[in-house]
Amino acid sequence: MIETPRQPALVVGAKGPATGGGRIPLTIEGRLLMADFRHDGERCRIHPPAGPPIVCEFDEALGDRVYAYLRRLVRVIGEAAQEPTSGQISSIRVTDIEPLSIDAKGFETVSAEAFWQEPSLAQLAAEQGVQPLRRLEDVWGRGADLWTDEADFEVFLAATRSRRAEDA
Amino acid sequence: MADTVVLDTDLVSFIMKGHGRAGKYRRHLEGKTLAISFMTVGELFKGAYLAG
Repeated sequence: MIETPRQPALVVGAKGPATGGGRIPLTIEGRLLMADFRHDGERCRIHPPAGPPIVCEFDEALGDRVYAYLRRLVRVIGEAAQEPTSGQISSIRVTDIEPLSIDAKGFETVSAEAFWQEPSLAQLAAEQGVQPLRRLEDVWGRGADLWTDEADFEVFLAATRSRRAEDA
Repeated sequence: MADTVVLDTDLVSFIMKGHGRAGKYRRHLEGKTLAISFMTVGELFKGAYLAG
């Protein structure tokens, strides 16, 4: 069983009844971008993995943390304003914010920042100890036992191509 | 970066399986640093997952 890295949650969920002014307690995860630190107008945006970005309003006291977490995956906790008709979240008043790392069984813990570092192929090869291939036979057939037989292999190729076509 | 080649999932699969079709690419592979994209990693994992 393969366990893939956990995706950041779109919305972890409302944790209680609506508070005053129609706001609901909400925790949301995504990438923090577009911060504006003007006094009395502090705001930023959180970009969840799916759906539109959401405006986050925060107090000056949270300014240093917002600045430190810009471009990172974060979890924002706060109170959300909800559009009465559509139910969509229009903004969040932030009460707490924390950085996220992606953890998964069988995988190293990966800093979200690593995604944005854009190392070159040469750097990646050096980090991973990859050497140029001397002879094709050095790698040829190294994963042959992944498929039970030729038919199984062809099924895998066909399924992979089919999924690509669906995604195109 | 001419010394590095990025392989697609089909070719990686041919090589891993030891399939004869990989031989056609020998001159493009030997002496080169081979790389695969994260998409190929995902497709191989998904194939293994679906196969149980």
